[in-house]
Amino acid sequence: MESERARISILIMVVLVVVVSVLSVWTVLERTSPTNQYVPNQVEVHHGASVGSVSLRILPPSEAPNSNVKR
Amino acid sequence: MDEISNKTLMAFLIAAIVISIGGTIISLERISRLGAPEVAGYATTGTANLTVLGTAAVVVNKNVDFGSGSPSSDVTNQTTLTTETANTGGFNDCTTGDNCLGLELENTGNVDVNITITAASDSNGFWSGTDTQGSFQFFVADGNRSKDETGSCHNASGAIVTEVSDWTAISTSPILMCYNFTYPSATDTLTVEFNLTIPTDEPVGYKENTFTFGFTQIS
Repeated sequence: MESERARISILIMVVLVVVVSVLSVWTVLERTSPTNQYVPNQVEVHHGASVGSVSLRILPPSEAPNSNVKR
Repeated sequence: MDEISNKTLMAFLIAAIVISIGGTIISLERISRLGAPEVAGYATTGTANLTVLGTAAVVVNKNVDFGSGSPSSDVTNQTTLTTETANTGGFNDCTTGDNCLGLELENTGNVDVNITITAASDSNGFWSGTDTQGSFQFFVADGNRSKDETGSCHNASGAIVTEVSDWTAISTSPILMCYNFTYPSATDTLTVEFNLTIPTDEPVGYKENTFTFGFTQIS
């Protein structure tokens, strides 16, 4: 009986070793897989547009500040 | 529960040993491929590869605001507003301050571009007065508003010159401003100067013309 228990214990330990080994290998393979390595977004911009403006406000002659307009 | 034979145990044990050794070999091989040093303190060499991608980008650093004023009603002496000029009629003095020294563009990308200017309205569309003819002209100066960073624009032959160096009427169709607008920070600015003649009977109100600067990377 004692011998049988010892064998079952060894079997459990062996199974644990197998499981841990498989998980270790899987982890290494997964972490070092090229598909999981960092690849930045490769986007080139070749053209575009920006916007600027020219503005003024037309006032009545009586409201022109410091006006020296001939009238 | 049936007894587990020694043979079965041995088989499991051998499988565990094989998987462990195999896993270790695979792990070491993958780690060595990453170039990780095996012993701390030893010198090792590695390479880092990168590719710098091109980005075409141009921004408007400063717009033009002529301020408020009243145009001349004298048909023989129409009010003309010019960037970098002490304007009359109460409009901004463009020799000082920062309101109307010119519309400054900066190539903030990392590639050379050619650039065009397109007005939302041409002179006829912008001015409403009819008694006298109005005008709306521009030219492109090399460098920024402070006259620095010259050498920012090259023509197709490589000479430092803009494509519009004399007063030219604005248009709703694209006009090439600069064939090669360069990107190095010491030479990456252009200034668009404007000259407006206001019709004598231009109605009171706020007026704004927008300009689209289209740019394309020079291949």
